Amino acid sequence: MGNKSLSAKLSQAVLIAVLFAVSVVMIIPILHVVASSFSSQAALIQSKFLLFPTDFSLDAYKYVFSTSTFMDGMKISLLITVAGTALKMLVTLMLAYALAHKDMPGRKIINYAVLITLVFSAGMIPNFITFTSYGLKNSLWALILPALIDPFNLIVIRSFIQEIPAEIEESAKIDGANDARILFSIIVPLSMATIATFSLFYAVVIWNSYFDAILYINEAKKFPVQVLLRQIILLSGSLGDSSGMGLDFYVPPRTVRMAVITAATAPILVVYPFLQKYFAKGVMLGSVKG
Amino acid sequence: MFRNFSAKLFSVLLAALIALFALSACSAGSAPAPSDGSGAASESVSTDGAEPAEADDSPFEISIMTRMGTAEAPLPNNPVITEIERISNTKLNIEWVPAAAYSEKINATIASNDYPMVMMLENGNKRGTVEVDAVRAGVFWKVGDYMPNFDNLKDLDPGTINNASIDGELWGMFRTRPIVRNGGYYRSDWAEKLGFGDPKNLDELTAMLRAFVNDDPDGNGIADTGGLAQEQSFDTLVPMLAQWYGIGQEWEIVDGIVRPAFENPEYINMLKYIKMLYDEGLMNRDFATTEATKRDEMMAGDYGVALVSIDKGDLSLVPLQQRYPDANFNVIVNFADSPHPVHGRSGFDGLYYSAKKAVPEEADFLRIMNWYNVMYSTEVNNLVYRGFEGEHYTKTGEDAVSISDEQNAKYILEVNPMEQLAMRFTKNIYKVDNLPYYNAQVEAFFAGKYTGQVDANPAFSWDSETFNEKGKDLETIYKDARIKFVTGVIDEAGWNSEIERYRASGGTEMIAEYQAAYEALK
Repeated sequence: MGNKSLSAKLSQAVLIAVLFAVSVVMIIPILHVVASSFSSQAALIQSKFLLFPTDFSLDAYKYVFSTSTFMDGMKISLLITVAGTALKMLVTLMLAYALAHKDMPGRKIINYAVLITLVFSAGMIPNFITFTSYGLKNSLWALILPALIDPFNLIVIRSFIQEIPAEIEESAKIDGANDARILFSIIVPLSMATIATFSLFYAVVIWNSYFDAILYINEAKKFPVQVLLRQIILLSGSLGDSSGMGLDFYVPPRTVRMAVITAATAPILVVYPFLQKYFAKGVMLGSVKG
Repeated sequence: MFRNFSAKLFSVLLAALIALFALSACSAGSAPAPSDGSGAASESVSTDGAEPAEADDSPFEISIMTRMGTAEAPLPNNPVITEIERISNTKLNIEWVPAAAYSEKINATIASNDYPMVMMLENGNKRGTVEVDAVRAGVFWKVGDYMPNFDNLKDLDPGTINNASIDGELWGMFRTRPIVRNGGYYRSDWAEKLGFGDPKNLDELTAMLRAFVNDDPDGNGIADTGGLAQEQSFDTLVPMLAQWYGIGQEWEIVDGIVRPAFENPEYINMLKYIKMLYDEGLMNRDFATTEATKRDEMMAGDYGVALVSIDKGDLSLVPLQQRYPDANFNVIVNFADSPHPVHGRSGFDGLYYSAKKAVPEEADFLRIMNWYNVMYSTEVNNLVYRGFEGEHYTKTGEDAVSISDEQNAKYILEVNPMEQLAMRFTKNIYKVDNLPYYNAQVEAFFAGKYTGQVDANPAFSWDSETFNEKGKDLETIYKDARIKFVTGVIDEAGWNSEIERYRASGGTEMIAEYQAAYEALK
């Protein structure tokens, strides 16, 4: 008995050590990016530090905020992320709820219609032609409406709803609740952990997207912040290579790149702690009694 | 409890929906919403060019799609654009497309048949399939027919025109760029200290690299200096060395036979030279994982030689002199003893095309040609490259300017993005005093130093179906093999078998197609 607990303790210790090492490997580069953004360019070039800047400087952030481009981009990103996540979640939930019912008419066809997009996709140009024909060109809607439902998310949410005991729904029906009422008053509260998780999935995807924005949006003032970030990273690479005789080889210093990365990632990272509690909650405890 | 919760959820959803409607209000598709007082700047132009505007003197509206090569797009009331509009009597509606997805945007635009009046098509080392197909389908106006009627367009460099042509005709106005850019730069203060001058041949370069690595050029008593700062791509290193070995640029024609440059018997000797640099530690041994962006940092005090585009020297100089104010570079374009010509480029970067669908009337197209004519003037090129006197630069001589830090900040925001509109490269463009290397090269070029000895890539305007399909994959085969050979993963036999693989995977067809293209145009 004592031996066993010793070996259990030992394996526990090994496990913790391994996990710790893995997380260190993952966290250090992130911390280095953050630290670099608070450094002076000269100190960074000489790689004098790993985690704590030796020459603290806010110059990079001053530069990033010196024009309104960054904040304008953040506003657009925030807008499409909040609106897009809410809408996507709402539509996904409604369809998942409907498909969770085996007696739903046409269930099979709808199921296949959604699933087929997991395997086949039309490609960029057919999508572009379709969405612009809907009048979505240069509209922020173009960044939200296409792919309102992610088929993978839908399947998982549907299976989750299927696992909710049918008795709960029945009891609500006896009390006179209709489908919408059951969905929003019973299913949704029971699924908060799931909703939180998949909202985060949706939000991160929208927050990180830049390609659609470049494709559909014509005016620079409607670009989300990721376009700026992408552009700055590209500039530091090979973009200036076909230059003429201008000064076009102006490259934003590495500190500026790090500052943009940090500032553009912070908002989405901040969301995680707030959703943490939903991940841990035991949702179904005591919902069916007797 | 449930009720409470759902009420909360509903209010959240409701708020989100309201946000969505607010969003639709400020972005409703085509509805013209002139915001920020810039008036018509954001109004959509009729891309079908319905109104003919021959008779009146009102500004001619031109919608333009071009690349955004800077971090931020210019504001709608940009002074340079306003000035161009004034000079050319036009109203420019420019869509700045971020470089991150420029070619995809162009493909989508062409596929959806919804053209701006003027659009820039990029071409790096090779004409794009989309460009060639669209030209052959008769989508664009043929500018070549109209050029002789315009003062600034009638005497352009025939070599560049040839490179910019498709099927022997010019279909778009090209953006002229320097022909000679390959070369390199080295730490002249180190070289001087150790008794070296400009390396006149490959042996002198090798000796200099050895000295930089072994003889403590920075005099700090520690062996902490390196020779060649090299990144993973050999694309910048190879041209300089290939010039010395007499190897062509990507492709060569020997006695009427087209062959890829790596089939030149000297190619393996060049690779052996690079391998020697690697084996002796005269270049960074981690080059295979080094990104190009690292090079400037490596040249900021730790390494002595970079073989890349000559003008990169000016860029590397800034971080170097931040650390060591007395440090300096010298530029080399070709070894003085080299019997072979320098490798030239196509002479242009991208062309502006006008689709007949967006500009149906010839009279309107002539007004666009007139705009090009203005864009090719020295006056406008100085404007797009340098901005306004006093605001973006101070004149220090007839063709020379200096830029203060304050002016530079303004320059980056207002003038730098305009480089995408720069059409002409002439010696009259003001020289900036803190770009010594670049200016020296420009001067040498226009003084005729390289006249008649530029060796261009012959395949640039040839068409090959195999290249369009899998040219990139084929390139990867021999480019990977180069790195494997240098690092010793494969030997000469291995290199040869990789070349066999190249031929078997489609290289043979591609060579045959190029041969046919060469003979057709001969």
